[in-house]
Amino acid sequence: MSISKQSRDANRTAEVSDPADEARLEEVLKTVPKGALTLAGIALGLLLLAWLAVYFLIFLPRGPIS
Amino acid sequence: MDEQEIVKTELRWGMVVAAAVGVIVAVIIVSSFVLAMHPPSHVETIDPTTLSKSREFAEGNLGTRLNPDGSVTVRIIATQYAFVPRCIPVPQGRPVTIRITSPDVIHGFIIAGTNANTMVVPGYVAEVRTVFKDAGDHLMPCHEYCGFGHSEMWSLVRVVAQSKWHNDENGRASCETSR
Repeated sequence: MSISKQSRDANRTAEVSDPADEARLEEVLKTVPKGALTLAGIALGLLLLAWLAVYFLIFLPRGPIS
Repeated sequence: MDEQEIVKTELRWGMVVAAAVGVIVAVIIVSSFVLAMHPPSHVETIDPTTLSKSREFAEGNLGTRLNPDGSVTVRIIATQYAFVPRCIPVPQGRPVTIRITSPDVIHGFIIAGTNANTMVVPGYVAEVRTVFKDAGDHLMPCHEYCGFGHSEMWSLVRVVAQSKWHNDENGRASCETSR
């Protein structure tokens, strides 16, 4: 096993086994998805509204084509 | 939040996005059927080398002509670097069929402020059908690079109110007679 791999494994074990970090991670994971979903939902809603506005207020009033 | 919950959330979000795309596609499909709208896709061939000798696109036959049913047909030639004719009168609120072709290279046809927009390819007649709701002038520039004089290639489409529309006994109209 190389020295660098040994070092990475040691770091990973330290990260996982640190109870303070684990608790903090759990705490963050409880709230982060709600915020991300809210932000993504607002962005998607605005995109949909903007598309509908361009279609009904600009494209259709410019007249039919065929 | 465990891994299973994360996967569920992602799936739910995927459904929300799919629903948004579904709304957009449904709006396009329903309005296209209700308004009978579709992109111009008229495939009709013509010999570009003998255009000026053809019956339809001879110089004397270009421009606006009123049909017996009250609709209007406009015939245009797009050539380096001008549209012929330079000013095109069309009546407000009546069906207009625009037929356009090119004897030399590919040109672009667009009437600013409307959805009339197509390519003009030598050897083919492009046909666009539309109705102009409001009176006024629209710029009609070439929007496909066609050579050094491309930026100077444009015409004017003049939408004339019914009360001001005049055509001769053959149904021909010009910007001088209708203004």
